Amino acid sequence: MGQRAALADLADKRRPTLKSVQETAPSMETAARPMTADDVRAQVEARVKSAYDEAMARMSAEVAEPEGWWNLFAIGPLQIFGVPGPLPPHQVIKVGETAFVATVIVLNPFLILAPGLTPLSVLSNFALPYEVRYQTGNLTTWTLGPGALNVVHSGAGLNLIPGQAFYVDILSFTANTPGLYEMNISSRILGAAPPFINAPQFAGYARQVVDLDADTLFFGSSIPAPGFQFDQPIRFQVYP
Amino acid sequence: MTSPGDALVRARIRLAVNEAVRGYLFDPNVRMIDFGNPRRQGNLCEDEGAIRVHVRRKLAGASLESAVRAGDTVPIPKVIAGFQTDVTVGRYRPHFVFPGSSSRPAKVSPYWRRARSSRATRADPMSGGISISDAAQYTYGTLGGLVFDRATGAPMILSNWHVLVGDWSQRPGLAIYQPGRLDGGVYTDSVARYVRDAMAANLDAAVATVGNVRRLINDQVDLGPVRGSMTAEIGMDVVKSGRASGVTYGRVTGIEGSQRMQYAGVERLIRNCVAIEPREDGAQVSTGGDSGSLWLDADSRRAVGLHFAGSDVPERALAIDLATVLDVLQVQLAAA
Repeated sequence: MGQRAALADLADKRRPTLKSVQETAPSMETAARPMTADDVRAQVEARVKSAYDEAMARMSAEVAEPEGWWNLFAIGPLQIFGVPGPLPPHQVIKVGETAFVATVIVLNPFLILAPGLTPLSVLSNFALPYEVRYQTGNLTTWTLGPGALNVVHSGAGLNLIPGQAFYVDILSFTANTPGLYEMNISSRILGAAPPFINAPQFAGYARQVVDLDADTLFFGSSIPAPGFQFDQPIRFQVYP
Repeated sequence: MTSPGDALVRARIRLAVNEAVRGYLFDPNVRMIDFGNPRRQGNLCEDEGAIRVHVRRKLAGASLESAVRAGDTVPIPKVIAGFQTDVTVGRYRPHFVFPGSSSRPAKVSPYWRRARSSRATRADPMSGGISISDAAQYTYGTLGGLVFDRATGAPMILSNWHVLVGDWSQRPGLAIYQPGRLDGGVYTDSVARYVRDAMAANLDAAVATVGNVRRLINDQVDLGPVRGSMTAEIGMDVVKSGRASGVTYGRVTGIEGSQRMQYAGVERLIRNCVAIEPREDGAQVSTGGDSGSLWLDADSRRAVGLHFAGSDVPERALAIDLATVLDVLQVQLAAA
């Protein structure tokens, strides 16, 4: 059990009941309610926060940590039907069903640029705007995917927050056209003001995609175990 | 164990606070945003939770319309990210003392005089709750407690950045005096050297390595040793031992706060704030000079926060989540 988990155990004993929290933020155990993008966002945030806290608690001087100033991670597609616990991937989706793709931007809190200075502090303290771009192609017809899967999330509300290391973005879509799809995700952290909005930018692709159900049945250990798959886009099938 | 439902509620709270921070914290009239108990007709509703927007001046009606027209503020919506909102007054400042500052705790003057005499003098061994400052500032704050460097195991003093450093031009190696300079500390009272701080991570915290002159022990004046650390939760009863106001009790009323604060002429955003209010009306929780003290769970004596600021009207103390401070500073809290 990590330090944070142990602390949380202790804190549990003192947690009061907050009426409005329970009323306005129903828990994931509400099985009958269809999941929303906010539900997925909260699930992903809780998981990333837990991992982040554990990494911070374990950090020590000699341990190498993520390279680069920031990075993108993608999870999905996800279809959750009121079941708490791990996020199961759903790479085969029926037409008409709703699915989600979660993108997490992580600003590096470990890379020491100068004493007391990390990419997290440099980037976040300017409250820079950022955007997340979803680009999807239909591999069955070799055409551009539907508009709902080729969007840019940007504008109001998408700013870095001083001291905040990670940001969760959710793409919600309803599968309409059967086919095999491939999705690439990119993101930019932009300049602070209009004259500089296109000046030195940071860009990258979500090269690391969480694949929780990598197939290992017949081919032994040479097939990757569930986890991060590198240099792969998100692929999913939509069936009628 | 923490249930998945609890973790998700906490995640929703963080996301809602973040949304409120993005939208409203940089409004000139807004100083802090957190999640906690709202007030209705002046009474704290302890069984409710809301996104709390702490403002310099509470505006309504014509004055709000006028301020909005002038671009001085924007109206706060009744609901943010699914949570109700509560607008409350809060004028916060770092809790250290300069000559001539008006932060002496008149409300507790008899006790304060007694507490001051014991906490403001040279202490050997040193413990949490006594006077401390760096060599450059004519002030005093509070020595928070004993921590150990995670890499070397060296004993260190934990306190605030604005107590142990206080100036953007300072560098590691700065001498730390006990008692603080405003309590008569001089160069012969140098007991430690500032090593590192957490300001870049938006936390008003710093550590200094203890020298060989005097020992630092795990003890809080009039409270006893710290028995570990834990996470603050709304409704928790807490206690602290501070240089200026001595031992005071309070209750956690807000968590996950983000606050704007001026430090040596530079505005910084301080994260992971915990708000603490008196358990009884009229009581005091903190005052100038208490900066750096540790807030402990009143029952278990486990530390939950590092005191750094507060307001007198309404009476409210602000601390920083201690687990975050310890992780960022890479130190371990001494625990009995």
